[in-house]
Amino acid sequence: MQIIVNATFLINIIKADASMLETMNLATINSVAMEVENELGIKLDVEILKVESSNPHIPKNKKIFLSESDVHLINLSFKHRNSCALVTDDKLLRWIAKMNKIKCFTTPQFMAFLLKKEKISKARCTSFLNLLKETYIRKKDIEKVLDLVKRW
Amino acid sequence: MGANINVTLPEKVAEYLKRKSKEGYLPISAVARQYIAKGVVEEMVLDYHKKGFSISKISQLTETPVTKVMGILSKLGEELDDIDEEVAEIEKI
Repeated sequence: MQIIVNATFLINIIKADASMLETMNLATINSVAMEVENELGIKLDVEILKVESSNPHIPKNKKIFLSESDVHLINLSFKHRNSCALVTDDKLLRWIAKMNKIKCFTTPQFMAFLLKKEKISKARCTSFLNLLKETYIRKKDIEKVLDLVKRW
Repeated sequence: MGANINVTLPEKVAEYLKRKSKEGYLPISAVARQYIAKGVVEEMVLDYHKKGFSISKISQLTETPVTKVMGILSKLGEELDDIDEEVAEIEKI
């Protein structure tokens, strides 16, 4: 499964534990990579995908609430929806992705997914989620994912 | 080029700005400008968020880095409306 990510996810990972990026095969679009690289002053090692057009349903009144990068990510994820997942912590992007049957994870959910798929250890997952609490946009979500992970 | 706005501030606020100006060896106008800009940006970010704009769009509209927008929004203590459902979904994978 191709993992397409937006800036919120990349920023979360880099700020909490950048070494985590080495364990993942991620892809994004050029405008997102540039934005993160410029903001954090780093060089990202992620696959850059070409922007592709598709026809997802985006309610007309919601279009103005999205950036050009958001729309490109939705188009790309929709086009490859049977073989990709979008990772974003943005509520609106998630809502539109789900409306279009695009598999979507937030950063904490994606960590639990990686653990479930045995891509990372339980210790690494828990430690990362605890680090993420420092900066994450919705700290209560992390607690719920941590509760789940502890039961596994 | 910015606009020139004259404001009258409460005495305590003015005293604080004067102190900060001395500590930082900066003109009082520069110190006041920093505080006002910070407060207004935060207010704009929260306002756009309340209206439902995406983080990336808020960043563009307010000319604020995504990292900073996320930092401001993290103070709200929000959670996803469907987090329980989402967590249950992961269990099924």
